[in-house]
Amino acid sequence: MVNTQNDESQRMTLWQTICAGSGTAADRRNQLWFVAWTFAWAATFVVASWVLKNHREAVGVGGWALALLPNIFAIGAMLAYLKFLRNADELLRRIQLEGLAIGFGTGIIFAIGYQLLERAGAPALAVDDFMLVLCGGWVAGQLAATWRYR
Amino acid sequence: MKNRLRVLRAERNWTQATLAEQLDVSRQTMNAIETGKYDPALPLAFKIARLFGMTIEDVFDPDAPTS
Repeated sequence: MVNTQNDESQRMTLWQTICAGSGTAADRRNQLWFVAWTFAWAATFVVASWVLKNHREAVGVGGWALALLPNIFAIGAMLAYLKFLRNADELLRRIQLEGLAIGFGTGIIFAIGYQLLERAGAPALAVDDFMLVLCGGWVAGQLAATWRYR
Repeated sequence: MKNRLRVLRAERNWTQATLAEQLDVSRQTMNAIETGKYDPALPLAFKIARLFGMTIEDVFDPDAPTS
């Protein structure tokens, strides 16, 4: 007779889900590479923005190169994310895809829907605001999928 | 889809973490499969069946609805 009453097959707690939700050791390693590239992208973006805003004349034609520099790290982040997704634990991959679907869908709905709101009198928004909604939807989608498969 | 993973694992006194490690998946994946919230892809289903020395049909029952 096998006792399965008190084992771990119950729903995982939120803390257990968060701890286990980042996949295998290889997934966490690949995630770290993605995070590292993203931080490098953000850092170079901030530095390039500051230099181009405050010392535009000093950098001269190098300003074009400086403006393009963050994109190298952005492409690195994108490739790191692709590698992470391709090698991810299969449930983690599904969670990520659901997150991307919700994030992309939310971003598109907000971007197109807000055009009508603007015509109705709502204040105009910058591209950054739409990116925030898209990224917020991505994170919310990941959390919802993680919770669903807990 | 229903499966016998929980019983098979308990028969061997394996934790979900132990089983997950042997299959190279996360514990969350193992838990989701056991509770019927997630059906594994064919390669993982084969790995699970081979680990227990059974066929896929012995471990998974596609006709039984998930409780």
